[in-house]
Amino acid sequence: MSFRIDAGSTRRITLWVNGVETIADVESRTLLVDLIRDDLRLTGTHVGCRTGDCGACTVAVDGQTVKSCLELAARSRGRQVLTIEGLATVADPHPIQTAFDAGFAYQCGFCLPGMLLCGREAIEAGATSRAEFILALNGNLCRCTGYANMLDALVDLP
Amino acid sequence: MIASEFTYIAPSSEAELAAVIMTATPPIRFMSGGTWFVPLLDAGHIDVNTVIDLSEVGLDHISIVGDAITLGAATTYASLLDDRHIRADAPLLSRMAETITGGPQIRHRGTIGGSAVYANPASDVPTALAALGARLEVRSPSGSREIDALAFYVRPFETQLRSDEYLARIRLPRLRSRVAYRKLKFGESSWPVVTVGVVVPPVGPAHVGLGGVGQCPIVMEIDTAESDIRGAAADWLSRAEFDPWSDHFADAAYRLQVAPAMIDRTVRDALRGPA
Repeated sequence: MSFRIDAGSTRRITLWVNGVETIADVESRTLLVDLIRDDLRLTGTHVGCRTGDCGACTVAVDGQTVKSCLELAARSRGRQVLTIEGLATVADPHPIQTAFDAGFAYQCGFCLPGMLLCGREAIEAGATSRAEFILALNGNLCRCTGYANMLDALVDLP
Repeated sequence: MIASEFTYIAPSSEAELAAVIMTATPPIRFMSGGTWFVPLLDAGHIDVNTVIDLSEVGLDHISIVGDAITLGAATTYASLLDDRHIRADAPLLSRMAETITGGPQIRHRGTIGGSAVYANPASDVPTALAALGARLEVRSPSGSREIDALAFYVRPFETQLRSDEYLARIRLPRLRSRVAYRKLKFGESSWPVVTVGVVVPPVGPAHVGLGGVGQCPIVMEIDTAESDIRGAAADWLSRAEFDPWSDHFADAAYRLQVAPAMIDRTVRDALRGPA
């Protein structure tokens, strides 16, 4: 059956956000990033450009990183969405977060949702080399650090 | 939230899709990965009443039968990269997919068909398909037709697709060829200025696809025994009739100036590669 949302109306969808079953009323024109930030108030996902260039709005949908400003929220129905809040906890940070912290890999932190989620995806896919991590991070812009320390942190990850 | 309102329909089969197209309120637009469509929609640049999503229709399969490779138009760059058949039998597409700008997030969502129909002179896919001699299967509720990739492009951002037609499948010959792909761009996250895809078959001249120089993809043949490939490419371009392309990255004269060197390097890459 076709899934449909008519212009000017909303439709109730179910998705799993950081493992939590989430019910949301979305319009056809609701972007996933707007659902995450404005409706669910998960503001760790950032908005830098809304054109798909910067990567600050990165989340993982069914395990694959995507830029949530390029996603209609309707497409996320029934799917698993991981935001940066779901990566780890303050008490028990993810090893990449620890490595970024120890290696001075970030300054303002605006780009971190994309850097960390793409770094994690690459590590889980078995990446170990600098070249592989460049390919993993090259959809994210950082205007503070120049990327070198991030790559060092990922390559040196224990 | 996107400012303009529209109806969104995601059919789950091609039969449903045909019914949806017939009853949808025009203007209709098809979306696939959404990586160029959604930002243009968000910026108010697309006049649309009904957005029809092709991502759940089942057009994401890669199949190889005999000497023909068929790609569903909604095949993502990531799927092209992961597919060992594509690596073996259409390696130009693997090389191209490796160079896509925008990172894994774009490779996971962007599709070969979506880029093919965008017809952006700076995009990778149109020229790669033209170099490979691909044929495009376009469908509407009233039937289907096949169009040669080179003839598919009418002018920048415009193809032969009619308003009720969508690109369904891409067919390629299965060729044991040497290939290479290069593009000139000024930054990792930037659009390319010139793209070159080269296919060298076991016999005969190299097929060279050139993007970003004309308003539509250009395909030329270069004799691989030629010692001055750069000169031969410059000579070919000086005789060819095409409408030049320019944008804010580079004007037409610059593109024409760098194209022969890009072609020379890419043909040499291909000739050095495994057969």
